[in-house]
Amino acid sequence: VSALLSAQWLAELEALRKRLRFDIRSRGGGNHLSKRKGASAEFLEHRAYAEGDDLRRLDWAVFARTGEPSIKLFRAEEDTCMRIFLDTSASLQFGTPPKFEVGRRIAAGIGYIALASSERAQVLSGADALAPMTSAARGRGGIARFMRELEGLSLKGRGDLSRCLQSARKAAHEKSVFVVLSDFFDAGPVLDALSALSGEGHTVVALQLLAHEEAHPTLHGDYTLVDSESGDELALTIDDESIDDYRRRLAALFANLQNVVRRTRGVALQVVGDASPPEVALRVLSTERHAVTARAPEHERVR
Amino acid sequence: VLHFSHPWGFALLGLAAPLIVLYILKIRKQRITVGSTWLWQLRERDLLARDPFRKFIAERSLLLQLLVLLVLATALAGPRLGDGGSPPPKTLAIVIDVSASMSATSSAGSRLELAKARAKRALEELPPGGQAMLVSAGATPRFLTGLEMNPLRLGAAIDALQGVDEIGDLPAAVGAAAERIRREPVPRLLVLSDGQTRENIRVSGVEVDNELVGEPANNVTLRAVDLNRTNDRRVEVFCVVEHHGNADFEGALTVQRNDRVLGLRTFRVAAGKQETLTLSIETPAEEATLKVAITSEGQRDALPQDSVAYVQVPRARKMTVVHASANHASWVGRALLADTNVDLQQLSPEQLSRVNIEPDAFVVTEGICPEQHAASIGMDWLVFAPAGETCADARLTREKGHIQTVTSWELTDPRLRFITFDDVHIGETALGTLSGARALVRSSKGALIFQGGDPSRTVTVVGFDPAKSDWPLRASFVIFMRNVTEYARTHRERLTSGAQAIGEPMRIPLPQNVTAVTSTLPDGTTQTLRAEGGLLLAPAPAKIGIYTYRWTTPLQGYVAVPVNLLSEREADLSQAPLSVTVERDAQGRVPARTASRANLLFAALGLLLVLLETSLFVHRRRAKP
Repeated sequence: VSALLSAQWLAELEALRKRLRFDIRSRGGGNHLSKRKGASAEFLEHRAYAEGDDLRRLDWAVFARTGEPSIKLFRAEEDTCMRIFLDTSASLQFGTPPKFEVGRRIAAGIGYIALASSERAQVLSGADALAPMTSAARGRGGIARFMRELEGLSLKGRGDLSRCLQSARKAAHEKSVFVVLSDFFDAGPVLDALSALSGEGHTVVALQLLAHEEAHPTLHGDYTLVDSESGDELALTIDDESIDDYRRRLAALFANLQNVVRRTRGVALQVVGDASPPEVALRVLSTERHAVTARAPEHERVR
Repeated sequence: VLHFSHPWGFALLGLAAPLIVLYILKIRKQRITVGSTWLWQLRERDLLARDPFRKFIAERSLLLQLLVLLVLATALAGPRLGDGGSPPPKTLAIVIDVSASMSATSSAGSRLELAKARAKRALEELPPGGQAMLVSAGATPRFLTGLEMNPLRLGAAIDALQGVDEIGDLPAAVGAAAERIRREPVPRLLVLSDGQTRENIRVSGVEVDNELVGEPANNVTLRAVDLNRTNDRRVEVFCVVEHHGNADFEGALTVQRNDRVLGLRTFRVAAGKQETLTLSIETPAEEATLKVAITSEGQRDALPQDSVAYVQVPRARKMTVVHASANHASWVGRALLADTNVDLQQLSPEQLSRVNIEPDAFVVTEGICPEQHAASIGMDWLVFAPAGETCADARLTREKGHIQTVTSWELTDPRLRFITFDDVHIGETALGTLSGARALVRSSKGALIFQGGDPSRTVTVVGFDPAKSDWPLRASFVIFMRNVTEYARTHRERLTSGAQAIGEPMRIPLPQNVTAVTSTLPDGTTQTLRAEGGLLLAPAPAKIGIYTYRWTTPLQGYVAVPVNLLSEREADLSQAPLSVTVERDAQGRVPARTASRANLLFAALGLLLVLLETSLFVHRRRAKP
């Protein structure tokens, strides 16, 4: 299917796909019954005939029994649209393997599950601004295009996640599941942007991609830290106290993410190190709050 | 309980202060790339300090390093472990190496001066009531003081101590000193040397502190000097130059006589190598003393004593031969005349006691034994068919009318080289019945040719007249005459130019009847010595140079003996720790451990801690930054 997904992962994703339940509806035609009225074979209710109604929908049996013309209404069928946003700022290059590669694989896994379930999936990306996007792919027939678009992504430079999310919200005219893959190391109003998505009825799944040394820093001593995204330097004396402080801030950031996405019936997860797409999908389904961790091999630890 | 020989070793603990400073001093920060510095930035405001020091944290690595420092300082302080703490010695024997290598100098002074300073410090450390003695270790041990409690006398003896150009025998001195103090209360031996002694020194029942003084140094030495007179006017000087050092040495080899340079040759010798050099120089025919010296302009030689050697040039090869015979045209006379390397002086037997003969002449007589006429003349004798009952410690028995056939002869004697006595028949002869003499050629009846027992000269006695045998018709007769002449020449040269080992008493053969000899040492001092029986026993030379022995009666003469160092052991100025083994004595006294062993114990512990530090901290930080 794609170089991003191995055969083993595909088999595991197929099994997981059957457990997916999408409550969010996009108002587009699909396989899921909707609360809205529509043209499916599922009866919903009767109402009195009004001038202009389609006579083909008149329930003749009711009319014969009551003498009052009644129109037969049916439920609509809708699908689910997965909008998968992958942060392409340069900071995603950090880690072993790079967080960008991990994120791309997870996006491929989630997209595959959606498309194989005859839903729609759309690739969104951006660093400092939302990148041009194509329409959402649909069904198994759209898997190839979806994967090509993912494989074509590359890292750009400095990032502005909140701006990207705001642009994505404006471009989304129908409710969807918004999957955001990023490290969320952004000083901008990212939480506000996520709240805005919630306000418009989107379900948000926030996956925070972290390198192992970001989740568990072991530095000790005097360092000049160089920001991999901006190149900014920061002279710092790192001791046990400052490590604890860093951990508190990281935990607070994640807790805020959880609070925001919880209002959207979504889920926030930390993906540390090299996590496989099936693992992450399983975590999303089980809605467990704690992070999915994949222990990095010894030789891959950052010095 | 520990006692410390060198408490100043704890000065090493002063390094603890800079070590701690290094821990709190902010070093140049390590650059490391992180995904984002965003989460670290607020922390920066808390920790970004402007001052060069940071908060002191007692890290485990620092504690371990301080421990290493403490252990090494203890090792340097010379701890002594012993029964009940090994009290300070009450009896101290200080053995100071005074061998030639102790004269080597460095920027701190000569090794001997350093040893003397250390000895004085050791005296200061003696407890009240303690006694000490001083032993110098030259070629033979010398007790410079007895056990002495007066520090002033001991200090004066140390001040008076002078180095000698001898090859030291440290084990003998240590053994003698240990034996002297072994039964004294709380004895201890302090050995101060420069580490030239390679053999193990075994000591019984006495604690030993051995300390090296000085520092390793480069040295260029004359390992061997010899010469050969090629003719009356030229002499070839052979030298072996050896270089103990770590870089090539370039210098010049000069041969001087009375401060006038007769020959010079430049050379280059690699470190640790030898170079053989030959100089051909022009000298007069008479005897002469030559000084061979190594000089270098740029490179420093730590031990000048072994860069100089003295050699005595023998007189020209023409040796004075006195032929005393009634018939100078005899076979013997003709054989002597055929030798162009001799000055032949022909005398009658009566003239032998009347004519002034050179003391080192080779005297050949026919029909008489010189000891009956003039016992003191000449240096070597060759006697044919002596008259009388005795000659040269041998009693003579006449055999007339019997043809003697040679039954055996000494194949190894230089006088009988290349000679065979097959088919030699001898008529009338005087057979020697020997007491102190040694037979050279034998018949079935007795010795035909023998060597006399005179220690001061070589006396070769041929008991028969060659004219009464068919020996002169054989080639062996002429070869014998040549051999005996060369033998006498060799003997004469050895007397004048043979080298004398330094540090050993000299045995100098002199003409008989010489009783009073005046010796002149290289520093110009003179003393009168007594000779007896043609032999002079002179005191062992302590300095290199020419030792001259003169006598005036019965006839004037002198012997010059060059004394050189030429020792490989003294020339090698690299230092190696002395190997001292302390044994229990017969009374079962417990020998205390030497300070050096405790030093090693602490040094090993320090090394172990360094390894622990390396494995715990250096390795771990690399693996997990």
